[in-house]
Amino acid sequence: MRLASVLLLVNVGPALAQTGSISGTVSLEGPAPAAKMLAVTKNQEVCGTSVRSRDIVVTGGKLEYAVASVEGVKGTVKPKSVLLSNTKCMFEPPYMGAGAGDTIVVDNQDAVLHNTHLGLQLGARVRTMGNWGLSDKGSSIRAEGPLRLAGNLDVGCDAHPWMSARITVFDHPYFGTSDQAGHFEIKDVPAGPHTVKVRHPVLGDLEQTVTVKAGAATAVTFSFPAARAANAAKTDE
Amino acid sequence: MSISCSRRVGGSAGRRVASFVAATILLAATARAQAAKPATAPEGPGKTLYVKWCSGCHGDGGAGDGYAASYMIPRPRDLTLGNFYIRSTKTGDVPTDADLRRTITDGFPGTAMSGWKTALSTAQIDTLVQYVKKFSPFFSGPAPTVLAAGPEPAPNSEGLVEGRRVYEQLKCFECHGQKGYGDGTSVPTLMDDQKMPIFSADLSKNWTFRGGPTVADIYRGFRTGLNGTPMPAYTAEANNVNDEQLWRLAQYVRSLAPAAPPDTSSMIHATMKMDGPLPATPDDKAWDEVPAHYVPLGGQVAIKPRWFTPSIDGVWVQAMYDMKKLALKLTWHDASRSPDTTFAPWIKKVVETLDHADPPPITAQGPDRIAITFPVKIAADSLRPFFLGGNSVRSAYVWRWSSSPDTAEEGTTRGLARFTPLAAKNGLGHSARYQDGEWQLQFTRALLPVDSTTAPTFGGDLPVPVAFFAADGSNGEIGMRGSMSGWYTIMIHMMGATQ
Ligand code: HEC
Ligand code: HEC
Repeated sequence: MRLASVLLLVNVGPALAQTGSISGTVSLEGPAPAAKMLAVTKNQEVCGTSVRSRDIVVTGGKLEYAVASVEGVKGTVKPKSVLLSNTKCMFEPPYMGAGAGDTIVVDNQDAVLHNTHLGLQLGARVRTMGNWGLSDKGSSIRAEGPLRLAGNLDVGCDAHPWMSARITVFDHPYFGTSDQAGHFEIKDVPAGPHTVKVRHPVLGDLEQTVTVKAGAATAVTFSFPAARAANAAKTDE
Repeated sequence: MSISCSRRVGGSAGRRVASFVAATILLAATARAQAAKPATAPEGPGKTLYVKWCSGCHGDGGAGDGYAASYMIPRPRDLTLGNFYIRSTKTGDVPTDADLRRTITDGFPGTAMSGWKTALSTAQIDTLVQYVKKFSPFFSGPAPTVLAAGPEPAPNSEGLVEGRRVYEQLKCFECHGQKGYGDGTSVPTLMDDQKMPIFSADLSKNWTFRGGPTVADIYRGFRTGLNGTPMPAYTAEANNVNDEQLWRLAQYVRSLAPAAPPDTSSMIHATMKMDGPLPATPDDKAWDEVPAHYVPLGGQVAIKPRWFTPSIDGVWVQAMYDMKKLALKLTWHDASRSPDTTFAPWIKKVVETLDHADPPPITAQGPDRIAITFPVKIAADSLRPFFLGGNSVRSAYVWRWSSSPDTAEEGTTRGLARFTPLAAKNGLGHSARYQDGEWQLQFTRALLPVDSTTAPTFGGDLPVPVAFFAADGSNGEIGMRGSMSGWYTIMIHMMGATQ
């Protein structure tokens, strides 16, 4: 009995008592950049003649699909499932964070062949972590291997070259993806000073130091300068 | 039962091209040998073997960057990535030892990766299997999952019909084409993991499959996918089919290729047409009666600009004649009718990736082309001209065809690039068709030339020497860039009545 309570103190106690959460908001300054229209070169009967690019998704100045993480803190990932959808000939979500060891579910909501191809970036090279033919609406796969290593995964569809997405895999649980309101939440972060990094495939990274207080939510805001979006648009041309 | 890598059977045609390609690439590579990097091959058993036999292509550090690497598409595999095409394992997983053993033993037909079973002992190959695994940390990760497979159902004709239906349901045609000739609509944008352009496989040539030609090899191929390429893994659950239907698909794909790999001997037997005139077009039924001879082609690397990445790897040749004329029919697979605007992304990638291509640079797509070289005079003791249209010492007689505009002409050449149209024309006729990724081209000419000093006489007692050159304009094959054969002979038996 005594022993048990000691163990409880050592293992669980500090996690409960000495952690807090980070509640963040990500914005993009300036007017929302006009979404690019991507030409559809195949399966127009299902995909239409063009699709709206989702490389920068901003609503009322708030940036969706940015991935925030606490840098340099170790922690154990509690494996869960993440969903990646092929829908309207685009990926949903275009960018997300995942934990190393998570299961990925890929589904196809379109009546066309999508093949979802996950490539782990290794330096300048890429390695296939999974590539599935999903030949019709309603098809899906579940796989445990592809997200087992931390790093950036490029997601593509060899059938539809305009489709692309990214998954950043973390070897700790301290990350979150921003929602439509630009909001993300990272829970159970050990109290103390931390560097929080926000990543975006087009706009790049931002970093800030925050001090997490035990048992409280620490607010933090990130703001990408408008110039980043403008530069991204330029290098695209 | 689990998916296993059976030994490759047959495949003489594939092997022939493969060793040809490997030899020419090694030849070209010696020039760049000085640029080799200092050795960083890991220590351990197998190092000496690896450095001696493999590192020239795969690089000392295994990164696929040996001194010969930049001449090839496909590039040598980067062994550090643990990213392998041929496996019996789940998509994304590393191969088993048995998978690697098979690859090193048999090689990949049509690529620079030749089989090593004659050069190395099985013990040496086993040592290399373990050594290759040292390059990638992926081999020390979780053990790969070998995919389970049900038994193959007995083949029958309803099974083939069902297999075709599954081919359509799973939309294999989007990459491999309606007839499987490798001309699917996705092809112009296909890239491998390293963003190199990659063609889909021509399913009518099972002897070119990396993983082997059998029904079981094909089944394994689409169950596992080819890691590093766009070729995805198809599971029964994700595609609303059962395992038996997947076997039916494999049987159907197998049926797209001939029962046995084609004979690639150098003799082409012409068929005499007894009744009625020679056909005027290559789709005439009369051609169905004439045996087709397969001529494998390899990159044109004999003269500059050399071409190490050809798209056309072979042409079927048929010959028919009557008392007056000789007709040749050429059939070959080409993913595009060039120039083809949908191939703009393809040619752009080719230009970007071929950083060591011989000058001049490739700027645009050209037409598809064929050139057939003959000696000017066919005589028993004749020295044949150089097989690429002769040279400045000995000229040749050439038929050449271009898809755009669709024209054919005969000429005297001092090399294919130095073509002079014939003054005394022999009325060379031609007819070309393109459909579903296949060109069919018929040439027809009188047996007797107008002037026998400028063009050969066909149908004498002697076999007619011919050599073939083919180019895919959408793959950047302009000028001397393309693929070629050495000399072949056409046997014409005039049954007594000749000139
Ligand atoms: C002349 C160049 C060359 C040499 C020499 C060579 N390789 Fe390769 N190798 C290649 C190329 C090119 C590929 C990729 C072919 C492809 O993509 O289809 C390859 C692929 C491979 C693969 C990948 C198989 C897969 O499933 O993806 C392995 C393993 C391999 N080689 C091992 C070896 C070993 C071991 C040796 C020495 C005994 C060797 N190679 C010698 C060119 C070479
Ligand atoms: C997204 C395009 C794509 C789709 C869809 C696709 N393939 Fe492939 N396939 C490829 C590519 C690319 C290759 C590799 C060519 C190479 O080795 O360079 C290939 C190779 C193959 C091979 C040769 C394997 C070997 O051992 O070399 C077979 C057989 C094959 N595919 C069958 C199929 C079948 C059957 C389907 C449908 C169930 C299918 N493919 C769907 C692109 C595709």
